[in-house]
Amino acid sequence: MTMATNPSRRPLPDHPLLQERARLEAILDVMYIQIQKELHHRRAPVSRAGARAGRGDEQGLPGGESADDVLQKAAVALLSYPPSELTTTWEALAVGIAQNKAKGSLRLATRGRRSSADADDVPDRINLVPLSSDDDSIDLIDSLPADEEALEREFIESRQQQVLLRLARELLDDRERRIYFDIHHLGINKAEVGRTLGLTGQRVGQIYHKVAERLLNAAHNDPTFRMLSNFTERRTP
Amino acid sequence: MTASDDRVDAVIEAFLDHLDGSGELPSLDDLDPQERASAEELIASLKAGRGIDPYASRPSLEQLLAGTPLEPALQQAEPTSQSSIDLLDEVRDQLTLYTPFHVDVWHDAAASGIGVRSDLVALIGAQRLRIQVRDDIVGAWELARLDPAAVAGPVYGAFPDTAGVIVVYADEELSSVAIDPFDTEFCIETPGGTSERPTVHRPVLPLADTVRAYLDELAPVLVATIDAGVSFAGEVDATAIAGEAARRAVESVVGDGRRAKIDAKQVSWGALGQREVDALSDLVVDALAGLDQPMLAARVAALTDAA
Repeated sequence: MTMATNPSRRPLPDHPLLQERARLEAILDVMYIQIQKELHHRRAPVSRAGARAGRGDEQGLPGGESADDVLQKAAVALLSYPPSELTTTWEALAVGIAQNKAKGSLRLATRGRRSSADADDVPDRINLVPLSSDDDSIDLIDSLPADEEALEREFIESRQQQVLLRLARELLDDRERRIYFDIHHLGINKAEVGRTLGLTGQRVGQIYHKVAERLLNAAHNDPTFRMLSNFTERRTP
Repeated sequence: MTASDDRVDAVIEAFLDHLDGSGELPSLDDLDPQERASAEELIASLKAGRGIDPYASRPSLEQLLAGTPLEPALQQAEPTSQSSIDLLDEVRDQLTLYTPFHVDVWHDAAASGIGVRSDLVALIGAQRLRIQVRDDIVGAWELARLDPAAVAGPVYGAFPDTAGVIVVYADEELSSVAIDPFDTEFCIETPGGTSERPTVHRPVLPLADTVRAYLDELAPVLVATIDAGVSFAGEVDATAIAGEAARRAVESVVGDGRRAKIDAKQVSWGALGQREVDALSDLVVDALAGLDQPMLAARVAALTDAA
């Protein structure tokens, strides 16, 4: 079903999220993170060379879609969702939409190329019908997981990761930042990270531990990070 | 490092191995409650951070909704103030004075959404500049005294694809200064080798000139120089020009020598004078007169040996 056959889900000019710009920007940040995590966790670990070469560039799926493209679809779907039908928070809904759109894009990109083992795995992780080729399709949001608390938790965790990313850029020197990004985000093997830096894998692990702990300590003193733990208390649909 | 650190280290190490597929999920049973809490928090953070691209920059809401049915809704929902529109138009006008590239300017909603100070984004050719308008300073002269790390550091941190931060004081000519990513870091100055705080290095200029000069650094537009045949030898006093250039070069070396920390450098560089100026000047004049390559090389070698 597309939007054309479901007039209740046309984009809304007076959508409440458009009136709360800061909240919407935060939601979009989290959606972007969720999409990246869905798209990247199935790929082989990105090499640092590839990741650094791609700084600021869109990293596309085999089918041609990038995280930016998927985010656009997800944003339009979110802002087309009628407030009257909302049964959870916008934040939880946004996480669900982002995850589903990303999974749908992955499914399209890997259609016919998945191994049978993968195919068995996919239905457990994708609880929705395939994406329509129509950009305006928003039927996937009907199949959101019921566990809205889990979605809100994901929202908070993503926001916390954003704070940690900001602190990493502010507080770490080049080598520490490189180790933190490579291990924490890009999932590069610590021995490989060590090889490029002239360190043992064990030393890289130790540096990562120290840096991660330092960042978490700094985060606990950061008002944004602390505020996030109170998020569930302000569940305003 | 304490024994407690070692135990948590070992768990994190084992967990990283597990993530790499080369080990079992580590047990936390041997840790005391405090160590366990620390390890659990680190592991949870590691799980939550996997897959995020730390180098990616999210498209702005305006970019996401461009060309969708929501584009007009966005404009209705957040009408931009008239002064803000005027400023944007003024900036666009100034930037289009520099015409070799396509220029596009829009409000930096992505930055305002995350609390980073950046008012406009200017896409000039392939370079994305972020423009910060300062209304908290009393005059254009204060632009040269800003702390680049505080002003532009968060912008480069949040948007790594930013090619430059232009700080603007909204006077008549939009006085401005450009800050590049390296301006926000401590650096080692030569020849003293001392560590220097981040400072603004570029002059305060009207916006068009600031951007033109900065883009010339980033992406110089190379144009053919005037054909040498167009000028006539008689119109140029090569001796005077060469003499002046040699004098300035020697003065610069002598100045560096005075600031040098190494005694040998101070003595040898500081000792240069008129003799070297004359020798360099003669060399240039002779080269212009057609001195052949081997002779030229021999003269340069002799000068180097003498120094």
